[in-house]
Amino acid sequence: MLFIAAIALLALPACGDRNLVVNVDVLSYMDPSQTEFAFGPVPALPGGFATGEQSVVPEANINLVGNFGNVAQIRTVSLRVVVATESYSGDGADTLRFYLSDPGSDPRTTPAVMTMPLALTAAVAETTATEISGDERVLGLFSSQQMKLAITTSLRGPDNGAALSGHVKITAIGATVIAGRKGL
Amino acid sequence: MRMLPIAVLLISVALPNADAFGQTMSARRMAMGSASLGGDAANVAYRAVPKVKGRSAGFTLPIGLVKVLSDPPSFDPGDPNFNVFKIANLIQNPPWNLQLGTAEAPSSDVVVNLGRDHLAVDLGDIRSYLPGKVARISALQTLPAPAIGFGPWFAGLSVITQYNNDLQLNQPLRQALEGAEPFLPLTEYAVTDSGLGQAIAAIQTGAAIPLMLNGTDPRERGGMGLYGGARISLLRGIEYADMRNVVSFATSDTLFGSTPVVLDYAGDFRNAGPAGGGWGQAFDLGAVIVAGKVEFGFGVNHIGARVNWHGREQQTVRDSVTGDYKAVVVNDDLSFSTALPVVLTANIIRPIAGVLVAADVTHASGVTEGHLGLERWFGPLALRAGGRIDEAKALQSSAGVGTRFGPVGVDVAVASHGQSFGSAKRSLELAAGLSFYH
Repeated sequence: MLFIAAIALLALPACGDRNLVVNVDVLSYMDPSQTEFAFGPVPALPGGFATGEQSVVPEANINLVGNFGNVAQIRTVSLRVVVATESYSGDGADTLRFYLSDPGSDPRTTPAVMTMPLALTAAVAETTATEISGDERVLGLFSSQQMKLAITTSLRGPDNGAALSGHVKITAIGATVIAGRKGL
Repeated sequence: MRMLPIAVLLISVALPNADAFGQTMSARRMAMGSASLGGDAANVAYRAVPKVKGRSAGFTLPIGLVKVLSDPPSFDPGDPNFNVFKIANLIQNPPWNLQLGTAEAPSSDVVVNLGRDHLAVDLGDIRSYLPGKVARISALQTLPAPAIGFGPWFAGLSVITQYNNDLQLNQPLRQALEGAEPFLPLTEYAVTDSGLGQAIAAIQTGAAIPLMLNGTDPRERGGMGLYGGARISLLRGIEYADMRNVVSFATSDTLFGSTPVVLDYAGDFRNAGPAGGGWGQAFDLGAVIVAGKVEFGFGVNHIGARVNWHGREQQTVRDSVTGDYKAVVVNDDLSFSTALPVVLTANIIRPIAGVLVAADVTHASGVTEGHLGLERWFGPLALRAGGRIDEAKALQSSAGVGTRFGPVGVDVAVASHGQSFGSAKRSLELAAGLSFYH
């Protein structure tokens, strides 16, 4: 794979805006049972009951192009997450946090690269998509051979009424890396 | 490789004399589809054939060098002006003649879709630059041989150069890259590149004699002449190098499971310098029949051509501990021999209604090419046209004009070729040169 990237990069003329675009299906590296979970019942309390940050995916290894950074100058990395939520009962909110780190570190010890607030409304199913780009640390991580991903959830229950219960499914986590030839 | 032999190799690739393939150094011949006009380099028997008015020897002027020298390519991949297609085109088309137009470079992005068990690569426009089954660049050239003659006998000195490079993707890799098909588990993907270059000095001697004559002039009505020639070359190796590189990776049962895909590389190299160049021999035979206005010629060059070498063999292997690659000398005193491809040339020349018609077929290294040329003089002005079937079995065409001032002529030719790197379109090149008429 690296030599394909190298050949492709070598073949990209310096002029114009020709790029090597790598679309990484990050979700494929995770156990499907980890990326879909039910929650609740979270009882109603004034101010809403907060569950605190709970681990959804403790650690997933993501294998990339071997030493991509040796041959490529990564220009941008964008991360897109799509989440489907359904609240069976009660209103509330959930916050999904996504952490990325190098293979030698615990992702949870690093700042979250993406924080995704989700509004939960009783008997409503929704799909939410969030995209980020421009994070220099993320750009550096995609230059290497491997990285780790962790996902957490933080629920907040309703102020009153029915307890909150429902279901969250991460349907897509994708990264798009746009690179050019090193030295440009 | 040493610089002087490299220079000899490069110059001789750019200065073909008895070239069997591709464009020729004579603008007159280039305009006539590179058809043979009867020369002893390709057919030794022509040394005995009486010279006919209108035959010439010539060379083209390096007008292509002006463009390259004014805008040389960058060989530094870190340079923003680095363009691998420009370099590849220079290799495919040595800058002697002027290339008309600019080779197209790819204009699309390369898109890779990567997942735990999925990899697909869409090279976009670059797909057209991928080798077919085998992408081959080859050249076999003989430098002009200054010679002295004694009656039917002659002796001379020349340099023969050969260069081959084959690039091949294995079937799974070709399907993945050409067809943008997903990479599969438990499959090996590989690129193999093998090449060789050699420069050999040739001390030549031989003889060409009439074998049968009918009449005093075979070109007269009713006349006929059969001529034969033989040439022995004592070969001495100047420089040799060959290599075989394989870059590969194998996918596991899950494409990108817990371990990343590792790239493997293996390389074998052999080289020998002037001190390692041994001796060898080659034989050339030829025959020409002249019957009135018609000439038939058949020549075979490099029969039994083989040269011995003493050199070094190296392999590039991966250190099992560090994972780094290193070059290991396998044999510092390796003895081996190399062969030159046999070149077959059959040609015919005949004037028809004032038009000189020349045609030939050449075959070497499994490649057959055909050439056809026409020339008509209108006083001091010549109009020429021709065509050839090139290595890729494509029809190429050419045309040109010439003028003559006594024994010296000036020629201009434009010819098409399909040698622009990665381009399926024909390209054009312009040649200008001088001819010296008998």
